[in-house]
Amino acid sequence: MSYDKMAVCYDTQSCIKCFACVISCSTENRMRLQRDYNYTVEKSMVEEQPHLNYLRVEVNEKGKFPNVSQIAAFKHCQHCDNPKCMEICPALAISKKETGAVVINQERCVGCQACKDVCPYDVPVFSKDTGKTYKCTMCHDRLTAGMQTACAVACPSVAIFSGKQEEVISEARKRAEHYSKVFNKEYFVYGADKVNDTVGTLSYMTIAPVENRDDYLLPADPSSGVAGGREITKVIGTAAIIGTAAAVAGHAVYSAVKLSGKDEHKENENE
Amino acid sequence: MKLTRRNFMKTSVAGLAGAAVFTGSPLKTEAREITSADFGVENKTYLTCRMCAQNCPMVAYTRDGRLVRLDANPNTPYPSICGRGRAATAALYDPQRIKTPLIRTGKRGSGEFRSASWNEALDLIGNKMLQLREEGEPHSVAYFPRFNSASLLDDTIFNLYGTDNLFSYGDTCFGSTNQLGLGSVFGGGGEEPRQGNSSVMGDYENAKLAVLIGRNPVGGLVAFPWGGMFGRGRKNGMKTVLVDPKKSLGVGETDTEWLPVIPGGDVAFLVGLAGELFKNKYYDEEFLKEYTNADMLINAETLQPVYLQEGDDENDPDYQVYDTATNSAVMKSEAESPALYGEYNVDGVKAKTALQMLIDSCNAFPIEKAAEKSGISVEQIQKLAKDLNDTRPACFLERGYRATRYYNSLHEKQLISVINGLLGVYGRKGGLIYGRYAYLYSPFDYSDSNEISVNMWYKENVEGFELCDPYNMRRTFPLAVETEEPYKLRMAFLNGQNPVGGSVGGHKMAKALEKMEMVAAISPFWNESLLYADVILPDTTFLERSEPLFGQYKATFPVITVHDQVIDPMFETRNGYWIMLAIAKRIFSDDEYYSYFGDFEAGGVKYIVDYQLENLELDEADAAIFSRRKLIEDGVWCGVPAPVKPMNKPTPSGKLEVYSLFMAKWHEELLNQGRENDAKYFDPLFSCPPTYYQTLKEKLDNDEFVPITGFSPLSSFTGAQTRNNILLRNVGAKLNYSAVFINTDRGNALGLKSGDLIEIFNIEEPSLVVKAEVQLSETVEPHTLFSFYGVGNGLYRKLADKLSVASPIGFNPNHIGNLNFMPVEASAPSQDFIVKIRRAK
Ligand code: SF4
Ligand code: SF4
Ligand code: SF4
Ligand code: SF4
Repeated sequence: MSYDKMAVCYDTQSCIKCFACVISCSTENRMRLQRDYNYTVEKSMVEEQPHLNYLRVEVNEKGKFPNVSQIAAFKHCQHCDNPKCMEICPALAISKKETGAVVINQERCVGCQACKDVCPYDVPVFSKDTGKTYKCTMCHDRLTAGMQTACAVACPSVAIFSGKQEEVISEARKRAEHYSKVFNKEYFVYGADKVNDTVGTLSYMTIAPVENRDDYLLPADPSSGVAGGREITKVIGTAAIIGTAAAVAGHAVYSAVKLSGKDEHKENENE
Repeated sequence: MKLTRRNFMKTSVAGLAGAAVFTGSPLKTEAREITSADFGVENKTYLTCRMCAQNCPMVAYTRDGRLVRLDANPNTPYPSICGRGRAATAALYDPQRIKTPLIRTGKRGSGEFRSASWNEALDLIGNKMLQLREEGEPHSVAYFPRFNSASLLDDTIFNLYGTDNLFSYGDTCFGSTNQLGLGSVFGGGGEEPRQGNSSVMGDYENAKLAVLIGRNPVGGLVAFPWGGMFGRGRKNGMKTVLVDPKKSLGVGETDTEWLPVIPGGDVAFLVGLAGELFKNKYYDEEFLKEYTNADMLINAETLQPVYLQEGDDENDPDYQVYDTATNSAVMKSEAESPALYGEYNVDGVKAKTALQMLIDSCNAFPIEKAAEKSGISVEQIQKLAKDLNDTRPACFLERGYRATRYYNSLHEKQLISVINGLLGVYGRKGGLIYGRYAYLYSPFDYSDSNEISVNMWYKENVEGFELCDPYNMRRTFPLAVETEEPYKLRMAFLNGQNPVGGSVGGHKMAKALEKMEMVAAISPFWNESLLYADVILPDTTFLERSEPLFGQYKATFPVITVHDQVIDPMFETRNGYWIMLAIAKRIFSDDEYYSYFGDFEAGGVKYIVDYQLENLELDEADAAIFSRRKLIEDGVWCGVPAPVKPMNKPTPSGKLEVYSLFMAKWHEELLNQGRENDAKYFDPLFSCPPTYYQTLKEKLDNDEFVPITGFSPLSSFTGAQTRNNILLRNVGAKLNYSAVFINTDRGNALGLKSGDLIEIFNIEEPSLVVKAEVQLSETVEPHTLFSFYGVGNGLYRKLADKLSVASPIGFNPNHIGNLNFMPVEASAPSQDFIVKIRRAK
């Protein structure tokens, strides 16, 4: 099948921070467990499973009373045009779909967390319970079924919208232009144009005032975390060898890697 | 503009631009297959959300009898349900729900219960009620309804049984303060002008500036339609100004101004703001002349109108004005050019126009003083006044919600309504527009022959309760229990209400419950009050029951919704109708039972719905487009928006009363009774009566704060449907929503850092000590100790085992607040006290 390029956009200005999107993402992922993994709804809805919140909230506060800024930024996969996570994944578990969505194949993921380390936006989250890494899928299944993403459909105030890329971009630019005029400062659509060479354009865009770009976690020059991060060569070495086998014997591979990567995974235990 | 159904749907699509454009299929070529994403063929059920009290229209999808998805009902102009609504599945499947009937085994408050059969539990309750009725004291049963799962039927059963003692929760929220605050300006017919929360609403979508004072539309979120309207307003470029002791996220993070008001300093701020409006003539003279009583001549000594001709069926009211055409005082109806300003001698009486009175009262209170008392700087007040002038009439001051906070809250609400009148925003595009409703009626009988209710008795007999709203008041319960006046209360019946957690002075509620011969309760979840129950009956959640049609929406157009059962009741729970009928069978004779409820028993909820539809009352324009089929097929029906034009209201003067004659009358009456202190709160002029806590102390000590509480969009009231909800907590934890927030510098001065555990107590109730985690933040006004409402288990630590997802500690000011009452209108000043904090041992 062939699909159009799709996109999602989050508008910080019309967002009323009701978190309906965040909850909707979380419930949708629980529904997916139920749908795809025979998990009962009774169980999926009442277990903590924090890694299923693919849309995360990060509150930052700056300044001194009473001149204080307080912003709850949303962290989610940006669906980079050049997904560093995909490049590095030793198990070939990550793919960029025709819609623009960058998706981790959970069956193939070996939990090495290489994607987490290189992601310029610190997006993927490792779950100690399942031994796998998770992130926003741009609701690939919903988009290809002609539905909006679960975050967009939840938004009571049209602050997240999804659809064909050119439509999303044109609406987003219209809004940014309007805000720039009304509020007399520059608003931009982060990700509509190439951000930098590392990530390229983004399929999940954000409308925000330029002056608040850091508060909303929208760096001007995002850099891949390969050099920083933890020491991962060892893990990758192990995982790459067995990576090809992952699709057929996902669980066995995952156990093997977990053993060899034990120490390296420790620092994530508090997540 | 008249909107037909088709037009209406068109507008709604336009309103939805963002969403509607983007639903197209992404497929280039092939026809789309049914995929697992939409679960193939779904069963759809329409219902309304009860995660809070707003009944937002929802749709549920089920597969194999299991709930798989919840969404906003798309068939309204503002399809919205919030995060709490979306997290309803976690409440439904919460393993800590009350699963069977329970009977208390330990002492009251201990939380020890055993499970029982339905028959045993119902017989216990039924027998007690029978006994009380046989002893001639059915009125000794106090009924506490809320989140009701047997609406319309439940009050009827208690009323027919013989008690009018219905203790409702509105005294904290929408009861007297808010009703009279707007009613005093708007009128409401009768002696006590009351207006509901939704009689006027901000036209957010078209507003250029919204001043949110005493209300954060996102914190206390009403998703449908307010959340949708507010967000669209932001999208359209509306600026927001937040007047609140706590800066909050939802009103906008950028391009919004925060005016951090000292708790209870709102009144001083409003007086300062009005002074600026007057000084610069930043008000709408034309509007004042045409629609308000600004030109009314007022006796400057008595504050009463010089001459008022009351209206009757034939004639509109009329009053004396000063006609500048003839330079004489004449009736308004005869005046050519009534003066808006000036002082006149009318037959030896020193008279001023109402507007002049208002102006002069502000002059007596300079802006510097307003700044000092409110904590909001002179420059900020001046800037806001100017911004309002630049944007009017597409601006407004929100008049608040959960309105009763401090002793001066009624005056605050009145001043807000007056200032909106000065700005001329009533009935104007982008200003405040009027609500419209559909009226639904109940098929059940009522009995008028019962003993007077406790609340009515208080209203008629007790000083300080004259203006209370006897139908929305519950905090008289502990008073009546203690004094046994007007009679002894012997049994309490809690139906979905949590008076211990939900009303300020909760500990006194608990004590009163302890004195009951029996406490019966119906609830799907645990809460503070249930710890004091003898018998608990497990209710269904809103997803497991059908309900009658609902029509009380806070919308500018009438809305009617359908509520059908989504899944079968879980565990041994039963829906409220089943439970109420089972009780009715036990307390009424067969003849009574069948004559009252026979039809309902045979027809079920459908019998009520049929009656509601047959007796549906709509405006003509709405009636013309109403379709029963559409309502059933769409799960919701929306009528025609209220016309955008100023309307005169039934006030004594027949005008919008920027000078409130209701207040003037009570002011005089209270003075005549020698009640100067009470009279201060009923001033028709701009003045600054103190809060209760300010009468306790001039200045707070280093370790003292005023306990402000506000809603978070992740919690609601004190129900465990949100409190014990893992999906909500996952997100709430990121906001540290179970902590108490204090200003960083003040915390530092006490040697505290974020994450420290502190103890909190009311300086008037030092024995009740609550533990909480502290979070230092620059987003808190320094006098303030802020907590999100209804998050932690607070004083009632016994709940920790029963609600293990909820924070075991945390602060709910209600638990330790005072049982005092607003002057004369007697609602609940929910945060008007002083707490001390200390590091926890
Ligand atoms: S944001 Fe991170 S996880 Fe998402 S596509 Fe880019 S590199 Fe991959
Ligand atoms: S696109 Fe889907 S997976 Fe990604 S944040 Fe939105 S709801 Fe979650
Ligand atoms: S649902 Fe919409 S308004 Fe609510 S937090 Fe998410 S983006 Fe913001
Ligand atoms: S505001 Fe939210 S919780 Fe309340 S009824 Fe509406 S959707 Fe439900």
